[in-house]
Amino acid sequence: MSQAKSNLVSGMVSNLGYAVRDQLGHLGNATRLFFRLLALSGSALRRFGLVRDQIFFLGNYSLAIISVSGLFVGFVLGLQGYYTLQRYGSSEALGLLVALSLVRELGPVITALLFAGRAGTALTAEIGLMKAGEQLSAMEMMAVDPVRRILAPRFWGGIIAMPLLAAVFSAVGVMGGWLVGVVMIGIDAGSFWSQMQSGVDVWRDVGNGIVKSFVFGVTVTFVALYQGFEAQPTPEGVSRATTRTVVVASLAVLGLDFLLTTLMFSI
Amino acid sequence: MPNIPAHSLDIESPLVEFRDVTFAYPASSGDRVILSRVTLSVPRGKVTALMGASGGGKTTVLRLIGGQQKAGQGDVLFDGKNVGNMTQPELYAARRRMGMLFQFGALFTDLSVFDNVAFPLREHTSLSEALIRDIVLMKLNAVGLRGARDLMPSEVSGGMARRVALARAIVLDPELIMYDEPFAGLDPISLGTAAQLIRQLNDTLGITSIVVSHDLEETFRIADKVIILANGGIAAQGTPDEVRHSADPLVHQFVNALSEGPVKFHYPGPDVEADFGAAGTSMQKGSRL
Repeated sequence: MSQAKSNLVSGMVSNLGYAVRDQLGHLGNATRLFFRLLALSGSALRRFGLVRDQIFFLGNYSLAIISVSGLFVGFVLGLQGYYTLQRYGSSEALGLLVALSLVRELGPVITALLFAGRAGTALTAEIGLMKAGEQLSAMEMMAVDPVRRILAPRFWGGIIAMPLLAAVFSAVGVMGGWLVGVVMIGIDAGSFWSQMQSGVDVWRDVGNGIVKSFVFGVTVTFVALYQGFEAQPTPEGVSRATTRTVVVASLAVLGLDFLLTTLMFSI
Repeated sequence: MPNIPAHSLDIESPLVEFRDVTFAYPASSGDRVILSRVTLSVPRGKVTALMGASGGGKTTVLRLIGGQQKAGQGDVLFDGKNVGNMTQPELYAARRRMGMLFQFGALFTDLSVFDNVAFPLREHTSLSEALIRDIVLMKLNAVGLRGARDLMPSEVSGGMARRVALARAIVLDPELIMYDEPFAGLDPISLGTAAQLIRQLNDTLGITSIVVSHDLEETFRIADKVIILANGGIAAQGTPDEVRHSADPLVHQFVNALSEGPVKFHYPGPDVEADFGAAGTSMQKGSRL
């Protein structure tokens, strides 16, 4: 009886130990891969053709979902913003509200979440399938380092594409807010634009948004690459890795967003 | 005449040598000993066949030669140098002298046939595109696929994909080429072609070939030397004729494709009695026939 109980306890302890060790192993692998990618930045950017292809692949193919989402988020911001602002009789500040919400917060965050779903999963699946098809092994046997040839260009492609997409999202969102506020509801176009122009600061607002989208770009792209690279080389392994990319990247983006916003308010 | 190695003056020393090599997968994945104290050599300029039951460590031998896995004990020598002790640049330098054909070709799915074959050239040389084109088409011609240059890997059959991979493996003119089950899943025509091609490339280019295979007939036909791996060790080696007439019961079982013999049909597990009760004992006897 007590034997069974102590077996249960020791079993739980050893399971916990395995789990912790496993997690630490993952963390160590991820950190090592991250620093290798940073170290390979020079050689990746020198062969810019490869990075350019990835910017096209990750950025261009995400444009449709990003612009459509941006437009609708802008519509909703216009409506909701007008509803709140007109209670205080300041509906002409709608332009400012839409622009600030998008540039500081919604642009980078929603773009990063969509980017994880659209481009991140594609990256994970691509690399996982390359691994499953022994393409990465074959590359190694050709004396070509897969981290340098495959991962590093994708890493930089994602980092460069993400802020550009966030900028597109915000710009289209502002247009959406204008369509709803000025064209549909009939707010004065002059005050819509002039309030926005005088109220949005290049460094404090736009700059912070760019920093955020850059950090999210690094995060989402790295998570996607790591999950693909470490995926079990089987169909189930690749599908699990793809799911994990979305979950881990989204949570990381939301967590980092809070952290970055706190930091930016305190500076 | 065909056996003169083009790359090395030292004809006598083997290109690949295993000395007392032991390899086991780490404890976390079951601690299976794959190779134990294996000593073998691969002569230059010849076709050496590695045979043996599935899971017998044949592919592991290739991975050890390529430095993708490291031996637990013993030395794996490639052209006299220990692969296990090489630094990354040394290993990459050694790998440039090897070509490897993976079981299913492992073509890069996002590149066309032409670009797949051109890949090693573009990565390792600074040749002009015109020159790369000529070399790639020559290699594709050697495997009979010059006309397939513009196809994507998804558009070619399994046998063709392997021939493209072969062209890619020889594009840098390696000294050693390793074939991982080149005949698996091929129809009889492709199989005959593939075997012929391996022999032909070996003789015309003066390279050393290692073929991992299950296909007795084709492999015995093209090989100069046959090594049979079983139970982590070498069961027999020699010319195809010597191996065919070996008295070793294990080799006899393998060469004659018998289901029972020293290699057990049953995977090791608990006693039949433990799993099925006393009634199971008669079953086990029955299965032994």
